[in-house]
Amino acid sequence: MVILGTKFIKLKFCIAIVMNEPLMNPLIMTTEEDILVLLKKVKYPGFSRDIVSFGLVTEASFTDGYAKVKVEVSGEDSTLPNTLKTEIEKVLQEEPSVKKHDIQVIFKQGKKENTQNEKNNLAGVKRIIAIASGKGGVGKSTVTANLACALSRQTGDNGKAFSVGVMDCDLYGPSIPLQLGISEQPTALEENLLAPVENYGIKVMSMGLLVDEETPVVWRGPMVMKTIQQFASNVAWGELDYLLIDLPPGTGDAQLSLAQILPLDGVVIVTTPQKAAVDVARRGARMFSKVNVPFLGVIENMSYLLNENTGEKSFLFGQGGGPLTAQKLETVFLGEIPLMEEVRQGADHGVPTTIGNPEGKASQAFTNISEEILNLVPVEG
Amino acid sequence: MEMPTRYEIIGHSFAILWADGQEDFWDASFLRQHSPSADQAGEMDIFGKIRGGASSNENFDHVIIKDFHLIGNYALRLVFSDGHSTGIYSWEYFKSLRTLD
Repeated sequence: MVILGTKFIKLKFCIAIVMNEPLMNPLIMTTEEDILVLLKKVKYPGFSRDIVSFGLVTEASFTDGYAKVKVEVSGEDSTLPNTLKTEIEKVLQEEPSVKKHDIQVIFKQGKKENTQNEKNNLAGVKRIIAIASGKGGVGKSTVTANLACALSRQTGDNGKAFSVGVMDCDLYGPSIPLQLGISEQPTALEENLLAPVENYGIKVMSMGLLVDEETPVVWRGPMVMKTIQQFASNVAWGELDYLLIDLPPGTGDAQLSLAQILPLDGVVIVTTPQKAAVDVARRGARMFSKVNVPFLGVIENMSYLLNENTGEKSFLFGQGGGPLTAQKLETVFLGEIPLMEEVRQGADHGVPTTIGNPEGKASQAFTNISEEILNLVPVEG
Repeated sequence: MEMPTRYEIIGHSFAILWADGQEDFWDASFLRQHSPSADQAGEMDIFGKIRGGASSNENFDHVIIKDFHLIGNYALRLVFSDGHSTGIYSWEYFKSLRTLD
């Protein structure tokens, strides 16, 4: 009897191939190497590699027609030992010189795959979409607030309005509470569980609701990660069709934490038309390809200033930055949002323009974009 | 990049079945040696020099993978029996290891 380690098997097996060429006649099979050759026919279920190469055979012996095989496996599939045993039996029985056999499969139940998502409170959330840009000041939060409102005004096939939430991951400079007119503190439902605060039917969690506005959040990266983890795990989001994530500019701790913690369905990139914004927005966007989050498209904000009397458009920040960004990122251009006083006012007063003036030009743009998003990442029902 | 169809610890190996039907098998010791973690691989400074990291001829022959965690949509964090668990292996990184194996 031999006890074989992984490396040892490989070595022995090489020797076996060379020496046993003439032994291919099954009648004169005698050694444990021959048993290993037989066992090489047994593939690990689901893969093309055999159990010997995987180093799962810990013991293989052959004496006077009596074959003894010991295999050790682990995993979550409890049918695995029986499947393997049957397979091994089959190859041994096909070999006439094996008169008797003893197959032992030792199974260690492995735990189920650990995803960091398992323990979060987002099981009832159907779609998670991040709003991002490498560039600051392009209006990510304004776009997020208005898109959230525009989405919640849409109805699904069942005639019910979509339920929408916003997670404000700009921890250092949260502006979602102001823009959505929320100032009350979240209530604790139980220990370690906060209720999101709701306005316009939109559930919101933000650092701005947890610390007063004069208190700076002075944190290093690990605290950012921890907080975003808690926004996912310790907030009672409940059932939501869409959860929008407002991100700070850049590709730092907040973005990386988010990409690592949440299963994002996609990211919307926001830019303004000028080169100074486009280049940085695009560089920031590239991060999401690296972490395997698909682009849903590009929104160009502050596209032009409209003279409401003459209908004349002034392109203060130049033209074409949004479509160019979309083209370079090989994604869709979702639309342009005009630069309008009412958008700024709505944001400052906690009444997004999509709520305050739903027929306005900016609101129409947001509504059109929200329809595009519904098509790109639909929810069932 | 598409998520793999299957990935699991099998014996001393880590096996990945990709969406296109291709398979990859790595010895745990190989993956441990090529951990992308700064602990193992070091970090680049502004001159492009690698700082820190562990010696590359360290022997990991007896190291096995004890556990793994899915990171977002893009990577796995492998937990090794020697306590090393900071390496985040993206799908892309796994594929790049083919040229070294």
